[in-house]
Amino acid sequence: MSTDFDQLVYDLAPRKFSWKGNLWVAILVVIILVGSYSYVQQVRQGLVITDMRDYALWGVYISNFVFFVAISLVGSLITAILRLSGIKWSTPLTRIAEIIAVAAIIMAGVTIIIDMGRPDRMLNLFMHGRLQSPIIWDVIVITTYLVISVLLLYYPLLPDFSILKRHAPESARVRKWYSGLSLNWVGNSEQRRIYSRSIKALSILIIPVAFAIHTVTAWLFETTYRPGWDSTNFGPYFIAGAFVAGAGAVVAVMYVLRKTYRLENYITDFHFNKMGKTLVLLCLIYLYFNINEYLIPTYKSTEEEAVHLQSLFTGQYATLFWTAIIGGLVLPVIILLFPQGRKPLPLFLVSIAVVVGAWWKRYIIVVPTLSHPFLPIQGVPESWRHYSPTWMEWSITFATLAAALLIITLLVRFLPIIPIHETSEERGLVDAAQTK
Amino acid sequence: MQNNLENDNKSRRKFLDKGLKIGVLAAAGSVALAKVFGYRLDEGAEETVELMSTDGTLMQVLSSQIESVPEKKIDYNPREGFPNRKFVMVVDLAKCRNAKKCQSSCNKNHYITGDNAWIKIYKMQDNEKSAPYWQPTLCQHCDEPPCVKVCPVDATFKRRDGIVLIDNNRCIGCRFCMAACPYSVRIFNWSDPWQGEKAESIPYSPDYSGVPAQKGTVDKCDFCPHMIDKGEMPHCVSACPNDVFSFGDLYEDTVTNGSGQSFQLSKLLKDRAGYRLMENLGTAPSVYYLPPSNRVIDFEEGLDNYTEFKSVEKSEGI
Amino acid sequence: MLGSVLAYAQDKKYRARVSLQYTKIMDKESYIGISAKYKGKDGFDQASDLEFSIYKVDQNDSLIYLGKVKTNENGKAKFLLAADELENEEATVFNYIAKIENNERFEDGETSVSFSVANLTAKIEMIDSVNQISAVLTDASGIPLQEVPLRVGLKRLYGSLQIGENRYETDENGSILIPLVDPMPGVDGNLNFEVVLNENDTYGTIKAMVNAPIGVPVVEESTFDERTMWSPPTKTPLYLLIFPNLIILGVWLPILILTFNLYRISKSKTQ
Repeated sequence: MSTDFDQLVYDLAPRKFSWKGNLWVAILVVIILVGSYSYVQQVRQGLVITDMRDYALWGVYISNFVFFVAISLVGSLITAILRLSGIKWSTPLTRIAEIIAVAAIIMAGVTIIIDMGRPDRMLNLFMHGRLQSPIIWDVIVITTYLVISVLLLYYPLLPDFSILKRHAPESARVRKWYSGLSLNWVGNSEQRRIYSRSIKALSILIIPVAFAIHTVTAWLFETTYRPGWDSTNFGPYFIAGAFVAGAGAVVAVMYVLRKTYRLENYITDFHFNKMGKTLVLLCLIYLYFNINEYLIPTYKSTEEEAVHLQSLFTGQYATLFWTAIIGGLVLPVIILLFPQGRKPLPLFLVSIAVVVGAWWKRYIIVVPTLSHPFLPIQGVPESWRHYSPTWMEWSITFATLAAALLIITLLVRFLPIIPIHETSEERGLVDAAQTK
Repeated sequence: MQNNLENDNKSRRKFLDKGLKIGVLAAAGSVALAKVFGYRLDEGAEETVELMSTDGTLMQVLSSQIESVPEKKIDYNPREGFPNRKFVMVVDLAKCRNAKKCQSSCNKNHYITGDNAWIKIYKMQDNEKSAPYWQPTLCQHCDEPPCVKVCPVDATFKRRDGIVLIDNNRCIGCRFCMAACPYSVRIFNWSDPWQGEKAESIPYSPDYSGVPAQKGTVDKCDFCPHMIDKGEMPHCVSACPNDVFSFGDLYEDTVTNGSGQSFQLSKLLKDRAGYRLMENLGTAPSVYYLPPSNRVIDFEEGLDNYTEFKSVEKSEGI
Repeated sequence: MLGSVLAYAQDKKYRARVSLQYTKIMDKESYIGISAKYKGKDGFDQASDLEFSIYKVDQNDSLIYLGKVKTNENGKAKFLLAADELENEEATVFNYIAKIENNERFEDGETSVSFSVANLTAKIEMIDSVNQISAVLTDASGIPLQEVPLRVGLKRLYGSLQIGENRYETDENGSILIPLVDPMPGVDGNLNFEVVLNENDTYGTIKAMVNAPIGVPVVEESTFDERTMWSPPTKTPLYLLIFPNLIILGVWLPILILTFNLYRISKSKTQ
């Protein structure tokens, strides 16, 4: 007997990949393997396989790291902030947001290890760590955020796993995992009480930690003297940018999943409309911070800042800078101000532009500053004045991005993309099998 | 109830069984990984040595962690430094003609093989109308070192005697110190520096930097504590043919140049209007510069030696 | 082996330019200092790793072989003379020769030095509540030497700082007297002075050392023992120890409780 509830479960339960899903996984694995080969070379030969040298001492790896940290903030935004504000339309998106957040924060940790010159000495961070160092603060907050994000991903899964162990169209072994992971959830009053209080506590807890994680990452740059980094604006600036990037990522993923799993009944045009408006708001806030970051130093034009700004506005990095700002920020705002722009397909395309723009924006933050040290670059090979990442650097970077997508894919494969339990509660549907 | 207990036992057994399998696989996997990354596997079994720590307790230390320290005249802790000294250097810009002997002596004695000399002589001109001059720039051994502040693992440290050193056995290669240093004096060993038999055979100690250098770690000028220990001055000071460098102890208020002439530091800085680089950043450097006025040698004399895209010859290793 | 001698032709040998200086440090040692240079590609270079044979010329003008010495990387060598070398009352002038013999890189040659013995004594005393350093220069038989220029230096970590004027000439008693007015810093207030007769044609170089605890004790100003932002982790600033750890605790305690809550959920009695 097929009730509305059963229909809901059938729609939302994870299912095996079709050939398209398997192909997608295969492509990601290939990219990861190529990157792994490059990484082995890097461990053997040293970071010399990159184009980083004494002046461009941080490059694509670090900008990639900042990107991942930025994306991971979306978990706190959608899952925590919106939820705590009592907003209901975001419920179908919370799982996607949390999955993206967990994948991103894991890859952030991996990426920073990739950048280390001596990863074999990683334990020194714990044995000899100095609380005076912003890197140690970053290690602490990233670990904390990872744990909270996993908890915030796991808690709402408890009722879903409990539903899936009975109803999922999966093999018996998978259903056993669902059963085990559901931790004996039956939905009695005690469990519900613990559940709702815990989720509320996690939602409250994650917000300051999320702010901390990106503020501390911003401090990795702000605690130096270099022009372009020596800005009091950096903490809030990075957080605003993080929300933009994360929101874009959620839109992109939700569009793909909606199409692939035919979830049009659950992720509707209404949701796209709302995300579109959210994205516009976040982009405008970020634009405000960008104006503060770039326009006012131009007014003062101290010697070092002037060189740096000139390279961004009209010099070496001009194309990149303007493409990232206009293509990744200004145009999206303009398009999304119109209701037609907030329809699923245009919004999806805009979100891709936003995410790609966000990646290059982080590159713009990290790399140009290093080309303008206080003292002139002399007496070193000419190639040291420019930074253009080698194919190995790119392959490793793509591998980390592919790995993040792979984590998302694998989680999507086994976890219900839209919270079944919460959706059923919102729609007033009841599990017939549960009320015995 | 009985049923549940049996089930529990079954699942426990299954868990242990699975765990064991995973454990063996992990061990095999890490052995394979270690081989891939080129680590020698016999590094696992290590001897321990019994040592007494500074507060009198006995402890076991892996013998690989004990660095045999080269013969020292004065017995001191390389992390703490010489007592009752604070080393300063004075660079007389009026005398520098870009001879680069300081750079070649430093490169040679520290077996520097890459393109990155630790002391660089910049062609400077503060503004269009001011005179150009040569500025030898080395680690400033700041009293408020931004590099030491940001190091996450205590690999770079400031000593009692003012010298800032790097422990290349601790450095994780994050390069944050390089980003933090405004003087661009830190260099990185991007690849494995093959420095020749002699350098590789010297037991490593942080107070003789770069010998041997380690891939994936940071290096910089160390004010040559290994020379100070012998009662001699840093190599750049002795090598300069024009007596540009003077070196000494701030507490003694005396600096001595390569020819052996000594000056009272405070008087020298007053008479010659000595200054420090980027004073406004608050780093409090230990290197003072004497302005290039009343030049002893013309600036143009140094232009022949000026190489914009390479430093002076490296040591014999490469 | 490092050396400042770079490329050299196998057949052509350099001619070393050698100067010898007899130096006596009172109550300590006397030696013959050798400084060797040669004309290289661009200007003079120090002749390092160059071996000399040292001979003494006795009254019969015959050479007595004393030993060998090699220059260091700066082209300098020090050949110590035995304490009783110069205790020959009959001779007043001593002659020594340093020879380069059968050297691969340098032509054979010899350089000589001759000198007479003199003695220099120095002491520090308080006269009219001012510290003064005095010195007396006499020849081997104790006759004071007049109008000989001496200089006074304060020994520092490297070299010595000049005290007072460039030169002070000995008076008819062979002595000089210099007041030490300016405050001078020293470790534990200890100061080492030297009075020097520098490169005299007849007597060579003579140094007399004297020390006195009349200096200003050095006060260490380093921040090594303090808790600063650039200290090792054992000396973390207190506010960094307290507040971040409180915050971390304040976040992790809830995390642990929330994780424990999962356990509580799994153990909850059904229905």
